[in-house]
Amino acid sequence: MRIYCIVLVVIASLFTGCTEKTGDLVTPNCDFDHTAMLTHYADSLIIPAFDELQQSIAELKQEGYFFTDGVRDINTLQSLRTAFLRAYRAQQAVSVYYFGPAREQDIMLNERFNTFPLNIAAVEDAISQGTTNIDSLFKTSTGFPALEYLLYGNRAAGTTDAQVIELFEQQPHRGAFFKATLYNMAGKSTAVINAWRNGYRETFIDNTGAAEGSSLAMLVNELNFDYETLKNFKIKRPLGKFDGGIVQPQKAEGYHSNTGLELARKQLENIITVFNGGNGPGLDNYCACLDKGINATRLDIAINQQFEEIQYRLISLQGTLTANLDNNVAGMNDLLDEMQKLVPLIKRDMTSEMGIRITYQDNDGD
Amino acid sequence: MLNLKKHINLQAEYRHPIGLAVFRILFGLVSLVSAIRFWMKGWIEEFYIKPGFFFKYYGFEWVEAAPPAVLYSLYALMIICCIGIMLGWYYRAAAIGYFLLFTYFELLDKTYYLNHYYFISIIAFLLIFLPASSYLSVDVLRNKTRPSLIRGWHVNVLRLQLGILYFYAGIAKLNPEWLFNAMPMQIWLQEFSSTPVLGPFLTTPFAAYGASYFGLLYDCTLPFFLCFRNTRAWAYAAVIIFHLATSALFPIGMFPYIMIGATLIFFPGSAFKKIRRKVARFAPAIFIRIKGTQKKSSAGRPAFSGTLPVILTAHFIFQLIFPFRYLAYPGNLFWHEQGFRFSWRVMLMEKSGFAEFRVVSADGQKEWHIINADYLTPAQEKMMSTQPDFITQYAHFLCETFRARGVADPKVYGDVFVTLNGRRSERYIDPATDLAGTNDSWAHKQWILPSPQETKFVSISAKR
Repeated sequence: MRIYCIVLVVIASLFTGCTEKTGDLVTPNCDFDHTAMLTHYADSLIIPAFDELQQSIAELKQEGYFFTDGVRDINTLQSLRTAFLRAYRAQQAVSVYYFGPAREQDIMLNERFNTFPLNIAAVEDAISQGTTNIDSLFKTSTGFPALEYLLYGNRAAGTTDAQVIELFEQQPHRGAFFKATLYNMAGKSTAVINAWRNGYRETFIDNTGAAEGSSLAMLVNELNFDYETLKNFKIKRPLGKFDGGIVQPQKAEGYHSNTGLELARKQLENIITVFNGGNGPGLDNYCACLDKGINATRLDIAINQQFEEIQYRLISLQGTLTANLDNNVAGMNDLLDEMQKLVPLIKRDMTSEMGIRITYQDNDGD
Repeated sequence: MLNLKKHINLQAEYRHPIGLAVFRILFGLVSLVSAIRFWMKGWIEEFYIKPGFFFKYYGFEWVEAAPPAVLYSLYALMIICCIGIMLGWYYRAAAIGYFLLFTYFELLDKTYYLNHYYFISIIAFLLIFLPASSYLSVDVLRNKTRPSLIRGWHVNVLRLQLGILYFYAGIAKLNPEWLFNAMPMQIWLQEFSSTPVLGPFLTTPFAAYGASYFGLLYDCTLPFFLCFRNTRAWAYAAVIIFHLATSALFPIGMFPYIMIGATLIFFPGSAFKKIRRKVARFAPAIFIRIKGTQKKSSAGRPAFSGTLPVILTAHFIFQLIFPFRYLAYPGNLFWHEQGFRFSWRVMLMEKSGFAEFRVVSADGQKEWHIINADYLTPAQEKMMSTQPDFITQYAHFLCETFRARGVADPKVYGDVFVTLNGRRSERYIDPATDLAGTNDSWAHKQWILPSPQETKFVSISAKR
């Protein structure tokens, strides 16, 4: 019994010793308003982004129907392409919010809207068979890449604008497929924004904490995934990094419209906005709040510095993506190097600091 | 005081077998639940069937995953062994079967290494030599085993094993990060920042330091307090509180329940008297009285003679020495992890990495970047990106994969970055080393870059 008492005293003295040494220990570590941050994300970033997607697709659908059923000439085609690019840009601003409604089984927004490269043969096959049930198709023959192909023709084959219009004239099924795709996408984008407006916003805001499945964890995970998609599939793959170093322009996003760089810039801009929470409380502020002074540079500052490096190089690329793949591989490699440097910062350091486990699956732990 | 002589005196004392029997029943039960849980979660498929590549333990590269049907059959057989241990039904065979099967599944892929799986293997191994079915068992009921008293060493080997686990887990916490930075506890507790009521407290430095020091004291002292008669009950209360708390805070699966059950072995047979009497009222047949004649005739079997003392002595010498092999390697153990496993280093660091690989043709003309997800499961990728022995194995695999595709003498280079306890990610391995040319061995891996900075002593609240 005496030993037990001695040990109790030792324990007690250890704890007091602790508080004495660092007198200001009682200061709260990081008092951060998660609810305010999540509310800001929902109201100022996420809902407006899905709203823009829904509206731009609705407009695209309207123009598309007009083109298909009414006037098919170079003017209506150009106007339709403008509407298409607006909607495709809007997609770049929502791909990072791939959780909740967007990930519902019957929506799967990112997969169904933007899987590239397109399987052209499958699309032509579906058209010739008169397919209008878009959900029955594989994800590689639908979404924005399918629309792009129908509106710009096959870039590799050098399809002209006149030929694009002519194909619609000659093949009634082509117009029907085009309209069905638009209808399908309009339905999905509307379903997502409606879900956010009718309840999911509150679910998102109330789901605080950093545990697996919390809003913060989902946002951070998707931010990482979105960034890696940009890096791996929009830059790396066209550069031929998965193909022994032989450039693969036809595997790039926006290949037929040759808008790959523009879309990549839009996506990067959005990722930066998401990290910084636009002008409000965001992940950057949370990083700053959690900073423990262990590192020379605060994490949010280090991340934003690296974002600047990447953005500078991405903006410096002149002309189109295919042009750069042809004659500026060095510039592209330089961009890729800077992009690589960001991954440990956002995928490891940030998640580590926030206590978010990138737990891909449950395990027995240790 | 701890009577060392009494504990060392292996043959002298006869003891009531109930403590050992209860241990056997609980161990069997938790193993059974754990195995069923593993199966129900689809982990057999996910861990042992789906992956196209397995990370083998050094020296056990020959252990191969059997075809799916065989794997499932073996797992079913293992579950039967758990039941056998729990019920004391064909006990010795069940213990041997469980030890072999459980260890086989563990050896298939070190991705899933957990200290508590290692612990289960060891206990199953020790149980083979213990007369844990001499009481409260089906074997006794069907007269295959005679109920008998047991010897002191039969429970003391288990106590010693548990004591080593706790004590070594405790001294592993004696590192500057744990003591002076409350790392990684600070990071882990951050997860509860918006938990109502407790959240604001859990994220204070006080909670982080408190939890760190409590954990340290608990692990270092628990085995001793469990040995003393006066402190035993208090210590066991601490066991329950500690393990339930860790279970609530961290995703550590079955481990807390295993320990809550296992530490009961520190109680002497007399502690179970009351329970014994109560249960006996319902099912008197189970509690066969141990008759005087049986005491002498069968007690203490298996006897502490022959090769058994050699096996157990070798086992415990290994247990005591092996965790210290890390001293043979230069640098920060948490960084290079050479000598980290099989040493009861539990929940000691927050580490994660990012690893990308390039395969380059011998002439340097062609280069392929690797997407790890094409070859590894997420769990495998996660473990691979922070552990050098995984990295070298994976590089060999990539090399073989590309050689099979017709690339002559492919070289493999890695860009690997690791963050440890909240520090900025730093390059982990030498990017200029052809990893296909490296090997896993006991030798120090020269291509691991040195730990970026020695532990800095920072008071976390200093800057506010």
